[in-house]
Amino acid sequence: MLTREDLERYDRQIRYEGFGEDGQRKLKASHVVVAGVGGIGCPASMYLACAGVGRITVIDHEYVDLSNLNRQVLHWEEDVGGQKAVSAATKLKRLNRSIEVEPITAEITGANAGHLIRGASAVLDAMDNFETRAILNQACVVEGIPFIHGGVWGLCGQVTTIIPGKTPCLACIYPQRPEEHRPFPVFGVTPAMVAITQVIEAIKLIAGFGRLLAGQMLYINQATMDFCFREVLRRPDCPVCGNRSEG
Amino acid sequence: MKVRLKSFFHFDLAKVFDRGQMELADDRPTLRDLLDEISLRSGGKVRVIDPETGEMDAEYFVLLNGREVLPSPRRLEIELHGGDEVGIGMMHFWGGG
Repeated sequence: MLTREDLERYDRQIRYEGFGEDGQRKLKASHVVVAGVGGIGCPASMYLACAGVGRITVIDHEYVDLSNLNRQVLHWEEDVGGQKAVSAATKLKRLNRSIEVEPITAEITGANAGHLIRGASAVLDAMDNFETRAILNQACVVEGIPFIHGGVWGLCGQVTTIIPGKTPCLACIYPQRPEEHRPFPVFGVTPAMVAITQVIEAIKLIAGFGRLLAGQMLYINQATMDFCFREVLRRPDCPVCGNRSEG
Repeated sequence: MKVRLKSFFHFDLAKVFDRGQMELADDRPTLRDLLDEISLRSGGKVRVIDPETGEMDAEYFVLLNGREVLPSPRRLEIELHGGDEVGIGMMHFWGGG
């Protein structure tokens, strides 16, 4: 149920036709897991909090480094050396005291991924390595939880929404482990743009309006302001989702 | 003849891509001609065609007028027309920032 304060706080988005009070109630009842609170995870969790997602879990096992501060906007100078999950959760609670924010300082592994995401409305991919992404992808497929993938490289970004059993999963898109370059070049604005795209995907998915980037990868190049959609296809022989259909 | 270009790479390719189009000398250029020209102008940084096999490198994706150019025996021999839009990007891992 929405309180009088909720109605005032979220008034401008409630006014959006197709969203309304019903959409806001759905957001309030939702739980979104943000996997990684780096360049993507920081702005993503901020906008989820601002929008009124009722419960946000932020997971990161790393500690804040000075070189993070050009883009990881929830971590400030005074946080250097501290746990990223705690740093992020502290700011998010100050941003919106009416929501629940849970920090988890832990590495996501094959053993704990299912437990960490169980019951979530959506998982936002803000990871910095392919191995953990693959673990989360598999856990989301098993648990039937939408997985909103986002990635950046230089001034380029990509986003797709994975609906288990319906759209291609990450293993369909990357049947082989892709080449990784770390550290890679990145400005703060690129992960921010990717993050807000992931967040609006989550909001649409939870509230049930608009059209999702399901089965499509959105590519962005801020250097040239090129945008394109690439259709991505399910692989019947995918070892992760190949034999699953929508429940 | 001019084709429009969209690029999705992690490095700057201003001289090759920033005008968003490329002039091709041939009257009836193919996708292979365009990709060869891009490789040349980028100093080999964007080498979509594997020089050993003469086929598209799996690390790249190519879109022609918004549709992906999928594997087929003559995919690189597709004829281009003035105003066609070609998008090129890499399949490398993209990080979380």
